[in-house]
Amino acid sequence: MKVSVFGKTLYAGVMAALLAECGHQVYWCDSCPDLRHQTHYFQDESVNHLLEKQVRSGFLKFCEFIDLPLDVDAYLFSFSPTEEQAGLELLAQLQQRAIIHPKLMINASTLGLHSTEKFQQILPQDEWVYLPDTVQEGNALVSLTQAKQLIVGLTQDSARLKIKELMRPLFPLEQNYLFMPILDAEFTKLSISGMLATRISYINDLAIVAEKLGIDIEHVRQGMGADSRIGLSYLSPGSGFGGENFSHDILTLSHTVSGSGVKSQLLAQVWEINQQQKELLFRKLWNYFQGDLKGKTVAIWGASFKENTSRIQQSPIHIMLEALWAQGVRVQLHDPQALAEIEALYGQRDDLILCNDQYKAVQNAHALCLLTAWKQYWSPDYRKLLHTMQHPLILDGRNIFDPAYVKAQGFAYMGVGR
Amino acid sequence: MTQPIQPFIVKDNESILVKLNALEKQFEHVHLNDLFAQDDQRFQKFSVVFEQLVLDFSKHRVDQSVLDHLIQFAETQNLEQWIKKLFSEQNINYTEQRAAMHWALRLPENDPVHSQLSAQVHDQLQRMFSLVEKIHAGQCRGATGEVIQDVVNIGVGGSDLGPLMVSQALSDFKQATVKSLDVHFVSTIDGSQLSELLHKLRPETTLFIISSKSFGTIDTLSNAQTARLWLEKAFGQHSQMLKHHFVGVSTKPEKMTEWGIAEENQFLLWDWVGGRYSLWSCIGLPIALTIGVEGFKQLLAGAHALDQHFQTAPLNQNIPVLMGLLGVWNNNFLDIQTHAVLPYDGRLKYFASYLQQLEMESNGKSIQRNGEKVQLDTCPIVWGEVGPNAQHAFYQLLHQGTQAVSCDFIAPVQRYNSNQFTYAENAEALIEQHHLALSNCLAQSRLLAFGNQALDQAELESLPLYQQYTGNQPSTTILLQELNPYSLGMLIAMYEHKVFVQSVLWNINPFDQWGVEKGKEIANQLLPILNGDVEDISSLDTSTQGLIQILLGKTHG
Repeated sequence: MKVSVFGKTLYAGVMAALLAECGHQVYWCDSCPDLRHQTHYFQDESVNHLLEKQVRSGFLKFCEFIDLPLDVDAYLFSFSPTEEQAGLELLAQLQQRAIIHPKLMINASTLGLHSTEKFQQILPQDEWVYLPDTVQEGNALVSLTQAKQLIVGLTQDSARLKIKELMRPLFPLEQNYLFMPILDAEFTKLSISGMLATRISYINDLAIVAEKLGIDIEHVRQGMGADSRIGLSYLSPGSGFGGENFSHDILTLSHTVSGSGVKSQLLAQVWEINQQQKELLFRKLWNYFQGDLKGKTVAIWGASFKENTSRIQQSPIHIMLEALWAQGVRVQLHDPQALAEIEALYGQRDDLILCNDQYKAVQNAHALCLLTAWKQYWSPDYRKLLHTMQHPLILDGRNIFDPAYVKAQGFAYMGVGR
Repeated sequence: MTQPIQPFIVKDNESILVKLNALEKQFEHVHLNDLFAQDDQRFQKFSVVFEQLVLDFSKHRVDQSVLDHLIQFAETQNLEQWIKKLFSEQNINYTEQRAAMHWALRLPENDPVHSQLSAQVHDQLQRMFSLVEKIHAGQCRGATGEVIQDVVNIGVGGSDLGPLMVSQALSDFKQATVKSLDVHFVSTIDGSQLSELLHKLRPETTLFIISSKSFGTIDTLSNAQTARLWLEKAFGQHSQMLKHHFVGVSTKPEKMTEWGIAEENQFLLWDWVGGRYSLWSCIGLPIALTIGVEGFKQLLAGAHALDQHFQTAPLNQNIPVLMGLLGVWNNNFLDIQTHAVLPYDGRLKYFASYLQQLEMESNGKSIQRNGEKVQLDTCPIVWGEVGPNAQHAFYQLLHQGTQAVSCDFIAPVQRYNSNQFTYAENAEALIEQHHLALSNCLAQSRLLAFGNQALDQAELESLPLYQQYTGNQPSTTILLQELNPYSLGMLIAMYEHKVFVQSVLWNINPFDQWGVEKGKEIANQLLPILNGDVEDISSLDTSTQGLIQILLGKTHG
C-alpha cells in the first residue's frame, strides 16, 4: 500500500517507520519541511534508527504536499492539540486534490471526542478510521508492536478490510483487533489516560498522608506493585505528571464528564491533586523556611515534563517558577535539553539563571529541587554540592535519591511521601 | 474647647425662610397631577443628565419658583463657599478638629493641585493593589504554603457596610482569578456570622482583613480574636501564622503592630477620612479583591468625576445640590419625615442600609455649628429595600397609608449586556426579567405620584374607596446607563455630597458621630457585671437591674 503520514508526533514517526519496514511505501508529508533535514527526529534512539534505515532502503520518503502521489491508498493523521488548526487546513487542501475517493483515512490525533467526525466532515467520501495514539515515550516501538490488541474505531466494513491489510504484518490475527464505533474508541483512548492519571494522583494523595503519618511511601508503592492486580506502572509519587497530550486528555475527559451533566468529580480531583503536586516542592521549601523566601536562591534540576525529552508543556517547572518568583526567589535552573524552550518562553529575567552545568546551578543556593528524573542527576557529587551550596537542603521531587545516604552526607532531605 | 467654624457672614436667612414658608402654604394642597397638567415640559425642566447618570426630579412637588427659592436658601447658607471648604484641607469637622477629605481618596495619581495628598493616597493604594494582584494570581500563601482562597473582612460600620454594599453591587464584575477566591464579611459583635463561616473554611487557605479605623472597635477586635484562636488551634502559636493570615487596615500602625499584624501587611488610612466615607481607601480592599485593580480604579474615577461636577456645576444643574434641596423641601416644608430608597436592581440590596449609615449618622444631629439648637428638623428617617421585593412588603403603606414618604427610585438602563461569565448563558431570559423590573419601577413611581389618575378612568367610578389611590407621594428617579464600577462610584459620591449639602442647609457638622460613642462606654461598665467580676448593681436603674438578674440566671423571666 502507499501510505501518507501527516503530523510530527512520536506516533507519526513510529507508524512511518514500522509501516515502511513492513514493505509499505510511506510518504511522510509534513507542513514543517525542516523535519527531513534532521537526523535526530525523536528522543527515542530506536525510532530514529529505524527511520534512518527506512529512508536508506527507500521505503520511507519525505515529501512536500504538492509532490504527494495521487494514488496514495491510506492517509494517516497524527496531530497534537496545538496542531489542530493546521491539521484542518491540511485536510481542506486534500479535499481540493484530484484523488479518486474513497481512500482509507486514519485519524490518530489526540484531539478529544468527535475529532474524527470533524475530519470526516471535510472529506466525507472517504473511509474513516480512528486509531488511538497509545505509544509510550521512552518505549515507543515495543509499546506498539507488542500490544496485545489494537483498538480500532470505525463504522464501515470496507474500512475494516483496508485497515487490517495495512496492519497485517504487525497484527496478523483476527483477535489482534478490537473493533468498535469511532466515538467509543475516542472515549476509550481518553479513559486510558484518565486511568493512568488516576493512579498517579492516587499514589500522590497517599504520599501526602504517608508523610503525615511517618510512613515511607516507597515501601507502600513496592507493596502495592507486588500485587498482580495492580503492578508498578504509573504508581510513582512525585511532582506531578505533565506532557501536552496526556494533560490534554485528562482535561478533555474531565470537561466531557462535567459537560454531560453527570455529577462525577473524580477526574476533576485527579487533575486538581496533580496541580497541587506540581507545587509540592515549593510548599516544602516554604515550610522549611517558614514562609521567608524573599531574596533566597533556589537551584532546580530538570525542566522537561519527563526525562529524555526537551518538551516542557504542562511540566511542573512552570508552577514552581511562578510560585518562587512571586516570593522574590532567584532560580538557577539546569536541564540537559529543555533550557532553550525555557528561554524561549520566559526570555531574559534577573530571577532566572539558566545553567548549562548542573553544578553551576547549585552555587550559593539555599536549596536544590529535583523536578525531572534525568539519569545524570541520580548520582550527584555530594561533596561538591555541600561545598558550593549556601545551605545543604535537597528536595527530591521524584524520589530518586536514597534518603538515608543523602542525610549521612550532611544534607537536609525531603522527598515525596517519605 | 474647640471653636466652631463660622467664617462666613451669615446672611439673613429669615427672609428667604419666610418666602419658603409662604410657598409651603401654597403647595400643601397642590397635587402632582395639577403640576403636570400645568406644564407639559416638566421632565425637560426638572431633570439633569451628567455622563452616565440621569436625575429625574419632575415628580417632586415643586415648580420653578420653589426651586429658585431653595437655591436662594442655599446661597444664604453660603453653600458654594462651604463646597470650597470641603475640598480644602481645613478642619471642617470642628468637633474633632479634623478635615473631611474623602474626596482626596479618589484624586487621580499626580494630581497637580493636591500633589502631596495624592502621593500619600496612591502610595497606600499601590501597596493594596500589589496584595490584590498577588491574591488574584494565586500566589498569596498561608502558613503551610497553600494558596489563599478565602478572604474574610472583619469590620463594622464604615469598615463593613461600604465594602459589603459595593462588592455585592458589582458582583457581575467579579475578577477572574487563577484559583477560586471568595470574599466574606463578618461584623456582628455576637460572633454569629463568624461562627457560621469558620466551620466552612479551612485555616490553611483563609486570610483575614482586620479593618478598623481606630483599631480599637470592640466588635471588630472580638471577632479578630476568635479568628486568631481558630488559626492557633490549627497551627499553634507562632508569629509566622499571624504574618500569613492577617492584614490590617487602620489609621493606627502602632496598634496594628501591637496586635501582631506584620508591618508589610499594614495598610494605612488617615484621620481625615470618616469611617462612613472610607470605602475609597484601603478599607475597600474587599472591593478590590472582588472587582480587581482596574475595577477599583474605575470606581474611584467615577467618584472623582462627580467630585468635579459637584464643585463646578451651577447650583441649579448640580445633582447633589438638587437632591439636598429637594430633601430639605420635603422634610422641612412639606413635612415628609421619612425617605425610602428603592433600587430596582437586586445587586443593590445593601444600598439602603449603606445609605442609612451615610445619611443618618452624618445628619442625625440637633446642634448647629454655632452651638445652638437647630431651627429646622434635620435628617429624615432613611429606609428602603430592593424595590420589587419591597412591593410585596411595605409599598402598601406608601400607596394607601397615612404617612407621607418621599422615594428615590434607582435603576440601570442596560443590564446583562456585557456577555459576562456569570449570566452569559441565560442572558436573553434575564434581560426580559430586567425589563420586567424596569416596568415595575416606572409603574410604582407613576402610581405614587398620580394616584387614581394613573388608573383606567372608566373603571375608576366603580371602584370602592379602599381600592383607590390618593397619590401625590413625591419621588426622584435615578437612571444609570449601566451599573458598573464607574457609575456606582458616581452614585455613591452623589449621595455623599447630597448629605453634605443638607448639613450646610441645616448648619450642622455631618462628620462626627458623638451619639454612638457613649453606648460603647456604658457597655464596658456592664460587661464586668455579666462576667461575674462585679456584683453590686444597686447604682443601676431598676429596669436594667431586673434584666441583669434574668441574664445572670438569678431569676426567671
